Amino acid sequence: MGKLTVIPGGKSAAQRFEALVLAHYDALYRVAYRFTRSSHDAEDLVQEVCVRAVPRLDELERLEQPRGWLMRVLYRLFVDLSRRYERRHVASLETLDAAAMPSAEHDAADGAAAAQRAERLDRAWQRLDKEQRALLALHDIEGYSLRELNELTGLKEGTLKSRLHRARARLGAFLQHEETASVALLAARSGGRP
Amino acid sequence: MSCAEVVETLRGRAPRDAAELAAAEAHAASCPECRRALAALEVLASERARAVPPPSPGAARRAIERSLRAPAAPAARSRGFWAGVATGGAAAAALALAIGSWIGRDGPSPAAAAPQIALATGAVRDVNVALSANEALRGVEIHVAVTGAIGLDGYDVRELRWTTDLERGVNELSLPIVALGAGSGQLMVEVVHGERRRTFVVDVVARS
Repeated sequence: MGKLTVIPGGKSAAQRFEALVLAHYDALYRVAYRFTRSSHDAEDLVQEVCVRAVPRLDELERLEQPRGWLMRVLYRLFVDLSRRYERRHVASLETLDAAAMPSAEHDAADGAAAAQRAERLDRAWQRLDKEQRALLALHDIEGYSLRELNELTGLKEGTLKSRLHRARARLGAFLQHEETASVALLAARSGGRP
Repeated sequence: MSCAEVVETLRGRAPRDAAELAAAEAHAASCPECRRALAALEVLASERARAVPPPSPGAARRAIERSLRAPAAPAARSRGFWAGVATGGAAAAALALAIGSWIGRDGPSPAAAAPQIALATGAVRDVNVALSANEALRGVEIHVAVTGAIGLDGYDVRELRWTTDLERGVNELSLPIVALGAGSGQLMVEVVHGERRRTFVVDVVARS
């Protein structure tokens, strides 16, 4: 038999959903940013997670740690959604030029070098499989343990270890390639100047 | 010792003694793959120390609002209340949320005396209507109407009607009621599935 309950002043589902999202937004965004290396893409990705959480609100509120569910959805969305959150990186010639110009300001030189390193990592990162990016971001940047990764991805610890190693070796190779390409480009530019 | 174990040993995460460490170092010295993995780990460690740029101002609120207005994700589209809300049109889309199912035998509302709430004039209050039931239903029609001194906050109509699929379990329907002026009013929620119909009424007293 149906039952009617009136809860004056009770929280609406929209308010409950808002409370749930606000409690976990920063953590989700942080991990999404590590995956995508882009604020814009990270916000989009978290938004997708929220869309999927709406119909599960009751269930999520009953969970002791809803963040685990939200992170699993975040991971799956990033890894599974084809061709989304794929940034297209174009080498910033301005940055390279700035770094190549002699400067008396050490800070500026350090900043340019850091920007170069970040760009090289950006490009190398995009060449990894999305699963590789996610595993490295979670384990080697955010410090998730293998047990936590197992819960999040469903992969066994042995599988995770070997995939992490392959991902690191691949990233190292791409970084090496980027480093070589940058040096060659700078040398060519320096040589071309009067 | 595998390459993966060598790297873990050298970065200090795996148990090791002096002999193991020496063996790992010797292996890495002659293994380009291990050296590349170690180089990558160094870069990733520096990333860990790098601050994540904050999201744009209001990003969380925007995500919440857009999610509440978004059609249900494909996996839930066939059975979620949100699908019903979406097909109910723009006005119904502002209704908060109701998930659950309803099955009723024909008959009067279970509340012999309608529940009553009081509101100050101009005040808005969410009234949550819960329906408990024991089986999922498709194509349930929901009809919400207000009479007298109350209105549906945010709507310029006094009746809303839409069709949705409901699940087994508890339903919850959140309705924003506003007291338009001193007096009494009624909120009526009617749920219809095929020949079955159930009506709930809430009396609202608005005081100035």
